[in-house]
Amino acid sequence: MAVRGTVWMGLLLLGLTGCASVNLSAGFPEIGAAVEERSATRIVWNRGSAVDQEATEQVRSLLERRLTADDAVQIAMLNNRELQAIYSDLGLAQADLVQSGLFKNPVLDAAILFPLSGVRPDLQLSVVVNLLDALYVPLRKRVAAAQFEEAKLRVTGAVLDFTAEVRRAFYVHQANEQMVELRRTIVQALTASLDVSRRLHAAGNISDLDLVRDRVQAEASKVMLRSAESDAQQSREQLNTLLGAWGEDTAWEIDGRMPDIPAEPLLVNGVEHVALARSLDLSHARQRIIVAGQQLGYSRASALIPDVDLGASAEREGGEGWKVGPAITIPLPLFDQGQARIARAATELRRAQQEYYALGVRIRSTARAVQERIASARDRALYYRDILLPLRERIVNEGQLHYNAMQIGIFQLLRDREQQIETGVAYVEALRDYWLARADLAQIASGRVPAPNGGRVGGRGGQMKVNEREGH
Amino acid sequence: MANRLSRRQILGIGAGSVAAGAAWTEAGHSKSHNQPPGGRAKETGGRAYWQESYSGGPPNVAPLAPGLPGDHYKPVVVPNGAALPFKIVGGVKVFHLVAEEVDHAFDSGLRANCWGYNGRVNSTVIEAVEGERIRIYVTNRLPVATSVHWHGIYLPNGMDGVGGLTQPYVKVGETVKYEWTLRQYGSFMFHSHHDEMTQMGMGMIGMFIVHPRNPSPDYRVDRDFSLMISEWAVKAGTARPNTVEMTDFNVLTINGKVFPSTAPLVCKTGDRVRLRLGNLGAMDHHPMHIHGYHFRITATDGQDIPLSAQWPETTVLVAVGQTRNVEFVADAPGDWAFHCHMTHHVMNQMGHEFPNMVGVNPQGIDEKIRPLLPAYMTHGHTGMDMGKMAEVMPYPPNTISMKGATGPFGDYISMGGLFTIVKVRDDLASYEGDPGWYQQPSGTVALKANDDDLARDGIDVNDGAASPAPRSGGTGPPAPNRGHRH
Ligand SMILES: [Cu+2]
Repeated sequence: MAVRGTVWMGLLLLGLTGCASVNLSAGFPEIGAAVEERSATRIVWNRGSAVDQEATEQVRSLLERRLTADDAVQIAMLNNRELQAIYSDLGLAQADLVQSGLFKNPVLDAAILFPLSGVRPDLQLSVVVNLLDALYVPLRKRVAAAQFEEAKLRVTGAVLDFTAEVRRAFYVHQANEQMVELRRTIVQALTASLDVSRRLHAAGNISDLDLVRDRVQAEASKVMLRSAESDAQQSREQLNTLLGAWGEDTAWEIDGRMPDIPAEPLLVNGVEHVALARSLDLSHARQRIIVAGQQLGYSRASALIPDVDLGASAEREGGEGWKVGPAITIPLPLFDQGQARIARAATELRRAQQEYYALGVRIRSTARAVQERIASARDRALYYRDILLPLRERIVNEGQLHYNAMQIGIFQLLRDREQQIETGVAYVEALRDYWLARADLAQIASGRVPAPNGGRVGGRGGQMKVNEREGH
Repeated sequence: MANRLSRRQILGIGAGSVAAGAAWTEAGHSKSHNQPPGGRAKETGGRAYWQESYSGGPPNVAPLAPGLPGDHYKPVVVPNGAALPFKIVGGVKVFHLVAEEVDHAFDSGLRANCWGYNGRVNSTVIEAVEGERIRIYVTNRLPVATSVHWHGIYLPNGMDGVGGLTQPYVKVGETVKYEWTLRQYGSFMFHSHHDEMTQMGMGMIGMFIVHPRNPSPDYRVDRDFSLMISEWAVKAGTARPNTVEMTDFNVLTINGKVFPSTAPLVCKTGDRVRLRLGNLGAMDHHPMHIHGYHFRITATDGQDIPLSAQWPETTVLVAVGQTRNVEFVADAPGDWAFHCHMTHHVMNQMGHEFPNMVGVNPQGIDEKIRPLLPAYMTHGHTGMDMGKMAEVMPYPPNTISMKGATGPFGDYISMGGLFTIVKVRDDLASYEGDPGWYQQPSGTVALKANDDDLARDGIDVNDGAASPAPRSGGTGPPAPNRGHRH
């Protein structure tokens, strides 16, 4: 009777919990949709399906053309394995969610006692089920569901951050390649100058000292070229990493030069408002408040009676028949009345709330800062392009006339040319800063807020991952 | 003084008489005229000459009647310039000098905003006659105060024109009056004496010629040129003299012009020629050199030199602040160069930053540099004889760097600056204008030697021993001093 009762109770509990199984791709379509809506990029979770092959082919065909920033982002989305690894966060959160819905398994307790005097041993059997699971499972499930939502936001954020990172790396590399080109021209100018110096020296017209001075200039320019080449190589490798490219896939070439500054200034009204409205970080922080709230509810509920085990015990003593009776275990809240757990959960909640507000302030500020960076870089780039570069060109042209009139020599003329190119370097830098700031703005518009240095603000989980990946 | 002048008159009439000569000696500070070889006048000199006066004597002399051109003196020739007009009011010769800004052309390729007198720069000449009273009104149309100093002239202290010392400044818009009686003759100058570095650097200078009253026949010449030498700092491509420049003067002018804009000194064969040279440049003395003749230096700073002290020269040094008269008889027809012998002074706006490219092997340089500077062309490796190139290569605006002129043989006369040509002709319809290039009689021009001549005289141009050894192996310098380490 008691055994039957126990079985019955077990079945009942089983019925309460249901047959919970884990679907590891749950939530990914939502993330894909969010990413596509916010950054117009398609993501694929590479898990050994036919879709994988399709993605691989797309990557191959993209790598064959001269890459734009958009192409680079798409390749990275499809091909970067670290990003794939981040998707596993989703699976983990889903597993946690399923786990939270499972009852604790019943405990079967059996004991045999051999009396010292008697012949027959005593048998003791008990089946104990955690009674309050029935109450707590829904609570735990709510916590886990909130955590799963949080995980989805975190992964979406990481993907969007990743697109921004690829974009930034692309512009940095594009600028570096242009720098190499400019530095090469400077070397060419100073080498030509050195060549003339050598001839003057050979003719006996300048001293060893003058020749050495000229040579130092030319040689120094080569060091700067080498340095620029190295920078370009480094940024190329950075991009290779982000693109997930290796082997022959690393032979990609980028599309010419950085795009010019758009004629019309970018008018973004209420960048702060956009940043706040679109912010995944804020949603994430809000979700953490919810998680903390759920956690607090659970803690409160389970504070006084953290565990009540209910069961049946059966005993057969000696040759006597079975004695069956219910059993209950209740911890006496003498020492731990749950106050620490409640306080902890309440503190977590308060922290989540403060972080939410702090994040709002930072997002507003960062949005304004990015807007200013765009405006400043745009002004600088246009100033170089429209004022300084033409003036430098004019100096070279006028210098040519003065050279014709024997007022200045070839050295001065080539130095002016070198300075013109150096101004070109400054222009490229301003242009790069502009596009980097634009990438940051795009990140804001997709709901993520970059730090002034292009890192991440808020979002602890995602941030850690991104930082690890950036680790340089 | 009247006494002296009367003696001068006597001298004029009866020059060469023993009595006159004695009187001259007694008078002491009267001057000797230029003496042609075999001149009749006795020379003066010795201490007695100096004892009476260093300053022309007492200033309160009674003036003589104003002298008139043609009647009382033969006007000087002012190439590229003109004498200041005058009128006679109550027995006084009245001039009006106007200090003003002038848009001045040094040459067809170079203009600058200068300051000058009466619309001219360096070439307005005041011409007067010994013994007359002159009154010079000076109107200041400059944006700053000025003053005028009469350089080398005896006058009352208050007329000396040193702004702040002997008179208040001539303020902007003001007209002041200078007046005194001329007690000497000779070649003098006038110039601003307020902020001289700026105002003279801007061109406020001129010659002041005083003719002797009743000059002796010995003094008379057929061509009497007034030539003011000066120097300027006008950087290529600029349009105003740099008056803070202290050493680097790159435009050197005669009467404000550079060759080829300097008007030639036109003479007829046999003319007696006087060149009155004044130098009011900032820093440079000029050894002015004539070709084809020797001349005699006949006067310095308005004082005649006794014949016995004159010596023949082909070059006369005219230091800053000095005047020199030189005279010669133009008996050799031709086009004769007259120029400063400092080679920088017969160039124009040379640049200091142009490296010495002479002897540099230019091969392949253009190809290397043109990708960077498409208009580049190596030059200067054979020197600065590139006048022709100057005409095909674009120059900065307002520049006459390396400019010269094409000469009669089609070759370029690679000179500028302090350079002019004395043109002496047997037949000359008029002294006005440029008579063109001299046609040398055939057989009198250095031309390419013909084979017959070479054969006749045994000149083998291919024989290294017979001619200066051609440099073989290019232009190797003396081995550079290497390994000189301490
Ligand atoms: Cu000179």
